[in-house]
Amino acid sequence: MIRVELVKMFRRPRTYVVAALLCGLPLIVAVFLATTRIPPPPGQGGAFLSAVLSNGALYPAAAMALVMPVFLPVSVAVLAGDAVAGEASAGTLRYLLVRPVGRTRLLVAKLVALVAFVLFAIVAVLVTSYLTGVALFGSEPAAGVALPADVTSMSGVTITPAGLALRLLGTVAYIVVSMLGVAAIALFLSTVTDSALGAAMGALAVLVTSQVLVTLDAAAAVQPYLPTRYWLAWIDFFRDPILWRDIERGVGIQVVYLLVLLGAAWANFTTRDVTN
Amino acid sequence: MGAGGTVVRAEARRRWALVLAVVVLLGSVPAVLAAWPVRAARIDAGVLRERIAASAAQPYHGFAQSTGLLGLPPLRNLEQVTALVSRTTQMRTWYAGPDRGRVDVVGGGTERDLYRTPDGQYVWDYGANQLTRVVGDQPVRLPTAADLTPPELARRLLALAAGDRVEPLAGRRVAGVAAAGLRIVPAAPGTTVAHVDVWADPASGLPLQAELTAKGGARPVFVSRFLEVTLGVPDARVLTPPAARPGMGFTVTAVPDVLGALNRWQRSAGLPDRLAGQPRRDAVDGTDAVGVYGTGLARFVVLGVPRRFGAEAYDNAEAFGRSIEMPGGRAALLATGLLTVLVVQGDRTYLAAGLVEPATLERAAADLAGAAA
Repeated sequence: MIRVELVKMFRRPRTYVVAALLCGLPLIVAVFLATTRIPPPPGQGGAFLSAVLSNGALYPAAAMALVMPVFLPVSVAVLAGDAVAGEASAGTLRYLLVRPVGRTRLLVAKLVALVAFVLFAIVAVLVTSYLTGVALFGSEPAAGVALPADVTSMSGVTITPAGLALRLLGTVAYIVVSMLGVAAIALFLSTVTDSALGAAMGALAVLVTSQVLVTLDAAAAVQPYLPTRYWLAWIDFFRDPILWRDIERGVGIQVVYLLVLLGAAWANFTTRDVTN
Repeated sequence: MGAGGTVVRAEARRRWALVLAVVVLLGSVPAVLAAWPVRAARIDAGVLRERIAASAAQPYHGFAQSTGLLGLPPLRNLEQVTALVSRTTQMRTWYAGPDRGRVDVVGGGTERDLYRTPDGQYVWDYGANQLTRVVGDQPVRLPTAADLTPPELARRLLALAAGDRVEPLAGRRVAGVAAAGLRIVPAAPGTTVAHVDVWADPASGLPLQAELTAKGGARPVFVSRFLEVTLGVPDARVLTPPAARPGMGFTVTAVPDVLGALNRWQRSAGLPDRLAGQPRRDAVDGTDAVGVYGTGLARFVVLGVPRRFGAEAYDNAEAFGRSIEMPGGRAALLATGLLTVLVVQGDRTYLAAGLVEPATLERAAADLAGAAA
């Protein structure tokens, strides 16, 4: 079942269109940065954007900071919202379930396919942004001085290329986990409604509300439990020593959302009347 | 069909009940942890105070957070200071001793680190890609985040309130440590501070949480507390400042902030010997541009500033506070409930600030207007 869902996802052109759009945003930003050489002011703009001007090897991290808050979650919400509701509205859900396929297995297969999409999209963004970064920033010597091979961490000490690779791997793993929460919310809504758009919009409404509350001091009491509170904690991989506190909490809260919403999706979907 | 529907409904109820049970279980974890009773060691408040005062040698490392609700508007050249008292600041801290430590102020995509080493201080600012070595003593400087970690803030407040009454407080779990508490009630009239509450590790005396509550307020307006703490010597590698290298800005300075620069530039600000009935008591040598007046927590600091800098500070104070009419000059007062700021302009300009009631600084304003003229 998982294999079927994976094959189905990677045969669909939309998978590649979404991945291409995700790769396109960092490319556009890189072109503007490289042509104007105007970095954002300290503490403003995307993370790592001022640092990439001196070393393009850090551009994958900057690219993650660009796609993470909006673009990637929107893609995941749209695909996850379509997972079950899309089959229902297209009339294929009934035929799918007529085959001896357990509904729980179908849900798990849909989730695995979503995880595979997130991994594929992130790796695509990392690879293209690394090539973009090195091509547009890395090869240009700053004021005639040869660029160091090492990257400066946020704490000022150098990160070796091997260390950078490890930290980027940690980033990929963390972002995949962070997107599990979004996928679980959209997948649950996808089992509630037959409208893929409705499910995606519902998930986005939850995320936007969460993002607004994260910036509101008055909502400090509930902030640790919001799904988007720790989304950008992967930036802490680039501090020295790595600051694990928010990363651990981020993983924990996503696991809670995944458990609860996947459980709700399972409770709803396995006993639901499939009429379409 | 009806019978089949009932079976399905029963199955649905069973599944939803399971999901609900998981939600209740997961949701109750934070509430149970918060409500778990604390058994802090019974310790006399006076003894705890002595242990806190003697805790400067206790090494530790941890993650702390300070939250200020003072709502001070950003004042030009002092933005970093006003942000400290008006926002939430997250700090990673490693402390090996009074002359060896590191405090990182971390935010989304930003980091500003202060290293204290036996041969000077280093400041690393990631946003500015700048490493600064600070040489020499800093008799006058602006407060930094390193002053707001719970141990530094609590020890400083307790030292200021040396003769004030101490009351015991109920224990509290701070960063996983069962901490013993004490309350300082300032005796000095004229301060805005109702009380200072401190919780500390009863064995080592290391302060873990400090709270300042203003008079008339129900909630503390400034809180600094550890969210994680480990008692023990931090790794020496962490305490080594980054090395300057190509592609990174590097400067060496003796005056890291505007206050130090002013002190250098203006050797004498002509500060009066008495202000608002309080004698001048300079806490540090070699400072003429700055004067300290008052006692206990009712102390206030007065600083002479160049007229141009003072004009900007005055405009800000007037815009967010209120102006005071007086012969021979003009003054603006900005009161936040806890911190009061005064700017007096005549031929000279004076800036005064302290945890004092507006009335005290209004009296000081009249004295300063005479001096400024």
